[in-house]
Amino acid sequence: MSPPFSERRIGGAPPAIRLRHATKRFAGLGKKEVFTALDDLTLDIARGSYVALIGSNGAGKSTLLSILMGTLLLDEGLLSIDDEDMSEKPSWQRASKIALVRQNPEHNVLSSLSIEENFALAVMGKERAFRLRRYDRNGVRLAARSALQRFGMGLEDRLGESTGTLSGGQRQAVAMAMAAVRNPRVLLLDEHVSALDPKRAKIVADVTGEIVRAQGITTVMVTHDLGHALSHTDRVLMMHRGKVVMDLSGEKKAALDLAELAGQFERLVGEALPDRTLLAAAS
Amino acid sequence: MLIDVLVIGAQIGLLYGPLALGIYLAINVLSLPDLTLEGSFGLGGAAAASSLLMGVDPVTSLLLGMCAGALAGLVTALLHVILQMNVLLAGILMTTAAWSVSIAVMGTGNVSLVRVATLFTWAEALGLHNQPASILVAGAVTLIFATFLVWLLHTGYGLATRASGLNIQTARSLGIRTEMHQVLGLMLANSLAAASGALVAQSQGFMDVSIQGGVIVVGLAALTIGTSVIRSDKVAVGIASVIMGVIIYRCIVALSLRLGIPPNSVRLITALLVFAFIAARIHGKGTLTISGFEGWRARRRKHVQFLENDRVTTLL
Repeated sequence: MSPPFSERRIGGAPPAIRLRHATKRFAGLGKKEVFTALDDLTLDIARGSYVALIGSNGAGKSTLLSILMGTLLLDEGLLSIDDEDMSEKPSWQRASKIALVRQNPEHNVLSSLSIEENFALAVMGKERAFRLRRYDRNGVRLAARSALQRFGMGLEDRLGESTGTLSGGQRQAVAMAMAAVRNPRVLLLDEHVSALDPKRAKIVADVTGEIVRAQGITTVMVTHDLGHALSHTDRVLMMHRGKVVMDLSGEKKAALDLAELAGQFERLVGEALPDRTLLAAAS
Repeated sequence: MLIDVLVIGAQIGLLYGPLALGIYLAINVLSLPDLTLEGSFGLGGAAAASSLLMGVDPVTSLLLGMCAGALAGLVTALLHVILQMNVLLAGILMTTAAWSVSIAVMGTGNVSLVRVATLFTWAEALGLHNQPASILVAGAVTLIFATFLVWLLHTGYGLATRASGLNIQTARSLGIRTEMHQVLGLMLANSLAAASGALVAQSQGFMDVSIQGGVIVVGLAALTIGTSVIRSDKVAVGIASVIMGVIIYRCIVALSLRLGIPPNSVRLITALLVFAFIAARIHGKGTLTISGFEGWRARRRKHVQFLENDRVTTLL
């Protein structure tokens, strides 16, 4: 049975991300038990859309992002991005099209390199051209400054400093700015503000939204902040046990109340949303 | 006596300069604890000695020795990247094998190079005495390689190599093919170790397969001493500090020999030195000072924290 969202298209253009019968299993400790993280998932994501991915822990959200980035490969099924088959490609070959910002700030920037060197890698990685000559310092600095200025943290004047001296929020800002400089076709955000304090989280989340809209980047964001997901994105996908159990967009999404959404989730999967999601929804 | 010790330290230390650069590249930059460097040192000496005896000029023989080291590094890297073998284990196996390969290359366990021209006899032919000639040649070779390495690690390619040694997943998601950087990085590191072997063989006028024994510890000593004296994320400073480290290490050895410590104890002194520098780096000044009950408790808390976070890794 094909889910109703599988053939969604905007203006007849092919979707940016196309997943067909995607399945990913992990062997358990005893080797006999198998955990199915993605269960025969079929999904299209339209070009330029901003999609939120919600669901309880272990629902398969992060696995889905890893599959898209290429840090995990599918056991079965197909993945194509911009009509190019990506199912078997390693992550470094996807880097010219896809950027990923992880939850842990330490995994997004290389901490003993300077901010400028991190940006240089982002710029060179876009073309996958790591040549035997020095990178274009002026070009890199210019790009880094203009991308960092948006966050208003004063990072644009500290390009020579090691990123190891930056706080978590500053590192996430650098990571988002690096993604903006790379201008990928697809941006993946794995709870990228959840490790930050509320003030920084808001700044980074807001600027992320501005970047994504201004550059028209197809974005998939895993989040536990249901309110933000409902108000800022085009489409909300709810996952449970490796499947998409709810797909909201357009009027359907606009008409939905937060409490109602939580209630629907409970009815669908037989368990309450994780506390953090409800707390975020209540505030 | 002090000047004497410094000169001897520089003379012998600089011969090990390229090895220290190789250790820096493998361990500090790539984060791969590659023990193959020890085998490559012997292999480089053997290949250089054999080619010298075949009538090859000293510079080409140095380069041939480096090629032999690069091949050893390639095999280790492939064992790691393709067979998914732990680098430490691959290095131990390769170093064991390199001993036999070195003997096979030379046809015998040791050869004399007294009758052939070397880089050092060339320098002496310019009218220099033995010691200045040795310092000049080894210093020039070390300087050339150090400059090359500083340049390389500042290029776009080298920056990607550094990223590969910091965090594989982050590097790959930035578009870096990390396994290629590991392979080429280990080849370069091993060719540098081999260059040291070739220099040592040329400078002592004979090549014995046993020269490789324990050189990895010389490199580790250089790295720990150098990075303890100067701490910096900057590549040029790091490279300068390991070269300084290897010279300081040889100065300490020369000094202890002068003080009448039997030559057979040099390895013990080396091991103790590495211990001492690592202990000083981990514990700071706390190793030796007695800071009262509170200080003792704070240190104890730190130690328990270490035990709590201790990780075991499987070798096989």
